[in-house]
Amino acid sequence: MKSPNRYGVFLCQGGHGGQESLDFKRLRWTAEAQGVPVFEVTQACAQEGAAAVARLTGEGGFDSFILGACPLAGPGGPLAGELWRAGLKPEMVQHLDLCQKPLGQTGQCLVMDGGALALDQALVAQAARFQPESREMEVSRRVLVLGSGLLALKAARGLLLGGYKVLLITPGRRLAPPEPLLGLEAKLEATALARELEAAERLEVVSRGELLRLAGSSGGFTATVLDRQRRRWTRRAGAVLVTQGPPTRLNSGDTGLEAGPRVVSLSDLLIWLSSPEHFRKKVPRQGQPRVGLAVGLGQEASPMSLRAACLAARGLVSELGAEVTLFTSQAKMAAPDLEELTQEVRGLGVVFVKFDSHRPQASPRPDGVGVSYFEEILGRELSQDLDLVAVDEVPGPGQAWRGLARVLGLAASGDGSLQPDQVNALPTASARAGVFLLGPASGAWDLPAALDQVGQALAGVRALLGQGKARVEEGRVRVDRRRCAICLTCVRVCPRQAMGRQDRRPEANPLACTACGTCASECPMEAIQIAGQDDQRFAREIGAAVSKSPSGLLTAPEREMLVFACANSAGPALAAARLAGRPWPSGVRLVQVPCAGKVDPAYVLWAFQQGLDGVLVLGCYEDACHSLTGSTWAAYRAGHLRRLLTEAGCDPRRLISAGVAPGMHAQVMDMMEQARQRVEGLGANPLKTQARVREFLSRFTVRIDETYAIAG
Amino acid sequence: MDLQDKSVLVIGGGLAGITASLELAGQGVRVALVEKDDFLGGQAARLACKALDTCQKCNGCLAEPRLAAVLSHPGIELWRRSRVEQVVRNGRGFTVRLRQEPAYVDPERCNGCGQCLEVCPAAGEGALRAPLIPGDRPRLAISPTSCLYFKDQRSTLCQDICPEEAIDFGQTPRQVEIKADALVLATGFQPYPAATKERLGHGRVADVVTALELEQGLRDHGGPVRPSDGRPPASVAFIQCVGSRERLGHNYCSRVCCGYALRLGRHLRSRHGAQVSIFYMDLQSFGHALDDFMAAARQELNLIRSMPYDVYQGHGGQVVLEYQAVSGQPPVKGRFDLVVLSVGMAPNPDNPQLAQACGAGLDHHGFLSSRPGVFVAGAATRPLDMAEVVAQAAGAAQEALRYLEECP
Ligand SMILES: Cc1cc2nc3c(=O)[nH]c(=O)nc-3n(C[C@H](O)[C@H](O)[C@H](O)COP(=O)(O)OP(=O)(O)OC[C@H]3O[C@@H](n4cnc5c(N)ncnc54)[C@H](O)[C@@H]3O)c2cc1C
Ligand code: SF4
Ligand code: SF4
Repeated sequence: MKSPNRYGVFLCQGGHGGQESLDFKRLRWTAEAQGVPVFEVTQACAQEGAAAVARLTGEGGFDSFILGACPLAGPGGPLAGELWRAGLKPEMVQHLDLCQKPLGQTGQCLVMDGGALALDQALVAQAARFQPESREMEVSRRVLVLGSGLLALKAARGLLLGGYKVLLITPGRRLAPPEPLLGLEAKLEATALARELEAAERLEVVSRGELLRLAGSSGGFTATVLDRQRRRWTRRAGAVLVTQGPPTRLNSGDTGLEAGPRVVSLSDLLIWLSSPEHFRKKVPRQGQPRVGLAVGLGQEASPMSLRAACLAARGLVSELGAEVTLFTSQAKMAAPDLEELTQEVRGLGVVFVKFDSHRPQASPRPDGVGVSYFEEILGRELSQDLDLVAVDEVPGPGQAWRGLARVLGLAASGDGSLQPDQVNALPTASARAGVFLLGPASGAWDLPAALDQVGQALAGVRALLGQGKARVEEGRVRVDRRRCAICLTCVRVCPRQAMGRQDRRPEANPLACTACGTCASECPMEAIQIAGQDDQRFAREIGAAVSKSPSGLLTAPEREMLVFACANSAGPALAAARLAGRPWPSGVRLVQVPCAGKVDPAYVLWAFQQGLDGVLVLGCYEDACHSLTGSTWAAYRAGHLRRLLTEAGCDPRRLISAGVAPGMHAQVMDMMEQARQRVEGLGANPLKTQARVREFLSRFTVRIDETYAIAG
Repeated sequence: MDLQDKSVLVIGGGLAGITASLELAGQGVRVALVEKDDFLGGQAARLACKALDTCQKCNGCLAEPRLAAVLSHPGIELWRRSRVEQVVRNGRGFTVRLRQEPAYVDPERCNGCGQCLEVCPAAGEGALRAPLIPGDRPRLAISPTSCLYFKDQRSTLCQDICPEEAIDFGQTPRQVEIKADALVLATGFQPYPAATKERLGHGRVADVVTALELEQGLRDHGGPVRPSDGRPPASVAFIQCVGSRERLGHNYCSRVCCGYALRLGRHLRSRHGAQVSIFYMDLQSFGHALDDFMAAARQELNLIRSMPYDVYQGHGGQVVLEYQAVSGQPPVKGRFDLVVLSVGMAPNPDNPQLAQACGAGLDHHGFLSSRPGVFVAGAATRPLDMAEVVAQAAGAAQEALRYLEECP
């Protein structure tokens, strides 16, 4: 077992002379009252001050400490370097902004109002601090690759070079199948790679295979595979790369361009064009063939479709002398050298017809297609008779694709992407830790972008699996077996699918878990605790945030508000706002949480019960949440809580929740100020007097376990 | 093959350089990160959150956490205000000579009290700059291009007043040699210099700004302002493709401008009540649920497929845009409180010299490409948005790691 956390408190006196104020003394007393050693230092924001902190920390043998000082002494300040130099870890400091003075102004440093309360809270947090013990965890060095095209082969090659084993599963018969939209170079490269990998030792290829099940989680998946001989077998794998995309359909929109003998897909046209004879057989005609290319007339297209259309147009004109018209809406040029390619084909005589609000109408016949349209630039109706129209393709996810999504434990969106529509998902991340999405699996990327993703996924695999042993932190998420009712709520709500089952009981995989705390907040039995961030800690912290009225019940209570700030967005934004010199609104206390998903409804109720006049939950915007769904849970709970508050006779407007981005330092203090004013306008929390009475009485009674109070 | 003994020099401290540095340092490689500016972050640190009530997925928040991680990473050595002077390749490795300009401000002493700002006669010209990300150091940096001391060697008001004695004009540049087993070039792009397009009025008409200026204003002040009177604009026009898609010049699409203009436009409308028009050739928007996004944009914004050919100051403080709405009909004059030029991503002008010094590839647009031992990350390779920059840079770092592992 670990030894208990040894910690101390450093208080910065500011620059010019010692602090004699009562507020400063209160800080000292607050720490001393808890039996924590206190040191006063001069100018912790400067090198000498920081060096003194580092030296005293070393001498005191502390595991961690609180530094009460202005933001200048915080992260980015000289302390991290000094600690490092002293052989200590910069993570051991918890910085606490206690300074009233707006930065950028001269004069004596002042203790902010409510400073002693903030320190009291920080001491609670410090006492609960989790000192992780890391251990090595065996992970599988085999990687499952789904797909067989250029991306799959590139990824497989990269993995083999990195020393991994590869199990490649493809529904097709062979490697490097035709991918006409990617162009000739891609085909040559894929074919060469397939040949190179033929003899690779650590590569196992299952052609015409199917992934039936993917159990387990990051680092230790178990894949059940059905092979060509209809045999089922299982393999362990540490990670999964999905390189294939959903099937496609013609992007005809309501133009009437339904597939038929003379309306084909762009891919088919490109295959026909592989030899002029082949094309002429398909489109027999004396003289100049007239071909239409339709790109982006239904859904908006991607640059990849436009590139493919331009390549087709070039082939049609130069090899067959065709007359080509390219119909498009927004010509998506945003790919390397595509602007130049379109100029080249225009130079060859290909006519571009662009539509903004109109669309052409087509009437396909067995031997041709009539197209009529309103030309928006000329402002006239035109019509054309064409021998063939090739239409671009968009994902048309069907049963099979959704089936694969289900096997992978992911959801396919309407456009077939397996990715959550989320900023932090970046191009390759999925909602299941250890499953990476490349190219068409996550969207309509052009080839260079998809190739970049191979590199990113390889980096992800290396970070995850390393040389077969991963360092993980032991015991972050603890499931209390006596309380757990095996309802598996946690398994369902975990945004990273880190909660799995071990001997039927829920257990978090430390490789996948981000300690967001969503499971802990949702568990109906309060059976889950996040080490260092447990309910007891937050209950105490919330309790400490309420000003005690030493003179009994009679003092007029000022408005007090509690802010739960997500450490990924609101925390940094607030710190940056302080650094940019914006003052902290008075009467507002901060509780930092790892994710808005950690804000248990009980915490909010507890805060009101304690007499706080308002609660503000500041988290990431929903689609920018670092733990994917934490903010979604927070929003859902806020709705629920407002109903509860109404029932309890407490104005629901006292609970405010908002999204913040870490760069919003110019706005975040205003948001807090607005919230504070709203709460101010609502008057005192009716529960406050009650809370004060209780607090007064509690001095004469035995304390009840706060966790139990919350759970009950 | 042990990565702990290897070192990599990363040139450029924007999102790409930061991402590559973190990837490399995460595998135990020692990293020296070289940034020519006083501060880290590059362009990404100038961009604002464009959320409505909901996130618009502009990627504006990707840089902060990565920057904070770099600033406190013990395995990444930062060389701010530094440029590469010479690169000598010896076998598989490199010896790089850096020149570091003096800071004049001691980052460990300066506490940002701002007394220097109060006395500086050139503060308005940007002689003292604050970091892009508030956590970066020093709290204020002296810019030799605007600071008067560097004109006459007499103006030392700030040095005299600084209570922490953090300012020292006596400092001189220094040169250092750094050995590295591989190089990463993450020198990014240059926002297209809008003033080159005379007719679009940047620099000539007060209320014509670049998108970057608008973004930085949103980030620093929380809302848009008209430069001429400091008031929020009620009507805003964006002109797309400024410095992109030109036959003679930057003959490529910059990929990010339509996306940021549509998002900025929706943000200005929903959060600040402005009427927004966007003038464009083709809308280059991408991403998940694109059709829903575009449907909302079409409803909220006035999207006009035409490129204004003249921009001038009108009466009543508004800016006039002349454009052709339908061919063959007389031109239309639009009046707006603020005109925003959606500047594209031009290649960094340092690229030719960097390519030659380091042995990287240079394409005909002026962007860089990787060669064995020299890996190019981020928007230095081609126009990319920030999510793509992160992906690309992680991949480039991966290539670098593989190169290091192959080393004897
Ligand atoms: C107006 C505008 C708005 C944008 N909006 C968005 C948006 O909303 N969403 C989005 O995803 N993307 C947006 N982008 C694109 C985004 O800015 C880029 O993708 C991203 O910043 C590129 O990062 P980078 O690190 O590759 O380059 P940069 O940010 O350019 O970083 C390069 C760094 O290298 C340094 N450097 C350069 N040369 C040298 C040298 N010779 N020696 C040493 N250091 C050097 C520079 O000082 C800089 O710090 C926008 C771009 C513009 C112009
Ligand atoms: S803490 Fe978050 S990531 Fe970890 S198991 Fe619980 S819900 Fe999943
Ligand atoms: S910065 Fe952009 S991506 Fe991030 S929360 Fe704001 S709108 Fe969303």
